[in-house]
Amino acid sequence: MGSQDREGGDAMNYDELYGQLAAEGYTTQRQAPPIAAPAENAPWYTRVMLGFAGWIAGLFLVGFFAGSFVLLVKTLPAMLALGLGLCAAAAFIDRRTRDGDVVPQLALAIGMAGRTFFTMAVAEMVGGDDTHVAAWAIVGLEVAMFVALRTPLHRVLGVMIGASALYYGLHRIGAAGAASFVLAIVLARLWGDEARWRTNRHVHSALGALAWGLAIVVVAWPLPSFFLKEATQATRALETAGYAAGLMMLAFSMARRPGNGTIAAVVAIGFLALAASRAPGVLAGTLVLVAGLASGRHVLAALGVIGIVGYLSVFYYQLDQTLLVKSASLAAAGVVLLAARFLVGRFVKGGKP
Amino acid sequence: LAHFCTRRGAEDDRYPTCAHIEIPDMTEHPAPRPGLPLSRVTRDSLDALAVDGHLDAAAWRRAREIAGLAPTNGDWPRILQTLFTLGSALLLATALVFFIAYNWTEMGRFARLGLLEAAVVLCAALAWWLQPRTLAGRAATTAGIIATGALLAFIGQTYQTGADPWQLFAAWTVLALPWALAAAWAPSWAIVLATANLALGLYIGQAPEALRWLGEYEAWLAEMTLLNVAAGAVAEKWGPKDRDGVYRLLPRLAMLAALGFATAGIVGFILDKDLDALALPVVYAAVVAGMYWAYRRWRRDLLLLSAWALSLILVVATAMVRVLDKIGDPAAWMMLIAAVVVGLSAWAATWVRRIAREVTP
Repeated sequence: MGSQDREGGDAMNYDELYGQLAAEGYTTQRQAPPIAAPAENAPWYTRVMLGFAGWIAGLFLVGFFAGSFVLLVKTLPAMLALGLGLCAAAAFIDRRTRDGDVVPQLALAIGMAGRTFFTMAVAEMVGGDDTHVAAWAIVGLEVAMFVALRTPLHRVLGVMIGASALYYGLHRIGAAGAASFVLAIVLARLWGDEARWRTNRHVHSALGALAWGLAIVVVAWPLPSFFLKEATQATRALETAGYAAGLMMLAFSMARRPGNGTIAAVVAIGFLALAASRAPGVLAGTLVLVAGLASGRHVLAALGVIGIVGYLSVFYYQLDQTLLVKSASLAAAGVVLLAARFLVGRFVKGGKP
Repeated sequence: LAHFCTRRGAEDDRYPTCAHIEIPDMTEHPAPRPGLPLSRVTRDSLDALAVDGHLDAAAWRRAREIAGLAPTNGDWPRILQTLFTLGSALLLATALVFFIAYNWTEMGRFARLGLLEAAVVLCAALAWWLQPRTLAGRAATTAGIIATGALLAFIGQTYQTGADPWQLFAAWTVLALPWALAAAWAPSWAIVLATANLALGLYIGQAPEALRWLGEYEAWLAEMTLLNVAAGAVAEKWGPKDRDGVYRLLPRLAMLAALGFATAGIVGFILDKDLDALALPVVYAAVVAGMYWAYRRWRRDLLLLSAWALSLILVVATAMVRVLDKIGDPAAWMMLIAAVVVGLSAWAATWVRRIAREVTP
């Protein structure tokens, strides 16, 4: 990155950065403000570790409540109330967090236990035929939790649960592709418009959590073979349209001043979408990969790569299409990318590898 | 403060001159947060400055480009070339595998064999022509590794050689080695690591008695751990060292796999009522001690240390379940374990952050 700028940000300090920003007219200050450097956030893998640990602690809390209050767990309204009460307690504790990791972890564990009781109670109440109703209830709970919580990690996990419930609910009512379409558009809008919300002190934390949570769900959800087996042509078409629209939105937001390059990108995305319409998971991974490349976030880009490779592994076992059809779709997508590679190398300045 | 004063104080009147401050040796201790002007530009600090109103949206966006944290318009042709090259290689190689697996009756076995062999030869020729250590050459070698596996699978399936599945993966591992050596690229080696794991994993189940010294499942876990520890050590010593953003992929994958197998082994050992597979705790202790030394003392790797901490938390929780199960009310000890997991994970996060702030000697 940064062919004419710095590589990786290793050697640049803020005084140098402000000097260059001022020279280009982005700021009037020629030197960085004399304040302390902001503290670094926990690295992503530490947050993954905290998320897993919070989930494990939540399971033990479920055991504690199930063992201590047997009657509560045997009566569905009481179990529902227990779940909601624990979620409320988690949000209350989370909002009082000032610093450190113990209190947010406690809130996370209590929140996971609350969600478990809530889900069990609602699923039991609506019965086996109306599980989509339970999914809507979970979506509602997660929306409320998202508003109430403050800690990014807890919010990300909540977004993952809520978005998965949305996928599941829409799948149960025969509109599985709609979730992919909507979430792909929202994801592209968030990552394409990152500069606007990153600089807004009121929404940056919430929208950052939403953007990361959705990215994980968009990549992960095409993977379960259970849903792939029941994929219809209409579902795949809707998914493909959503991912393609998301990629086009990213192309426009990256271009800033749309021109011939943007039109070429839109045409290329259109061809890729047509070619890979039988394998929409490839497009889902590509959407996250491009979002990661555009925002310079390597972890997000790696998530997209993992999504593509994981999807191809599962795609092999999908039963509603023959291997010949799948092979043709992948080969066509490969040829589109190969053609795009030669066109970029031939016609775009700086395109030679 | 020491950093702030000594580097800047003498030449800039915005900062105090503080020559009287004694600067401690900070090579093994967390560094204090320096003043902003001289601190390194990072993604987190840029985000924090933007949130605090020091940079507007346009300045934040441009600042990331200047600092090399996000691509400029001029970078995109090169990024797209990389994306399209690797993407087309992956998709075309996968399409070939799917096509052969379809077992199209219109196409005879010799035609399919010829197609696969032609694909392998084409990938080799492309890699040689494009140079195996360029991006396009590496894409060709990766496609070549996948095509080699497809060729072996096809031969095994069509000619009913009587070979076991583990032999397919073992042969694939061996034949993938020249490609990976030529490419000297971590993702190519990651495929070799995966096929080697599959080969050994499938082999142990039918291996001679001597290799199942612990019992089938226990031996499987211990030997898979040892394979990945060995792969991790080799990767650290001789693995790809290009600073291309993926050079740590191989040792990390290998050590995460080793830690995962070792943790599964120790958890199974703790929950086993007879506690007879004593080699599993020995293997786990060796892996944990080795990883601590390697990634805390020898080469700092916070990702592996985070995984290390999570593994210990799992083991402590499992051990508490085993011990407390015999005594007291389950509800009470579950609350206790939940509290311990919360406390340990919070401590681990603080510990990793503290290491991250240490000044590298």
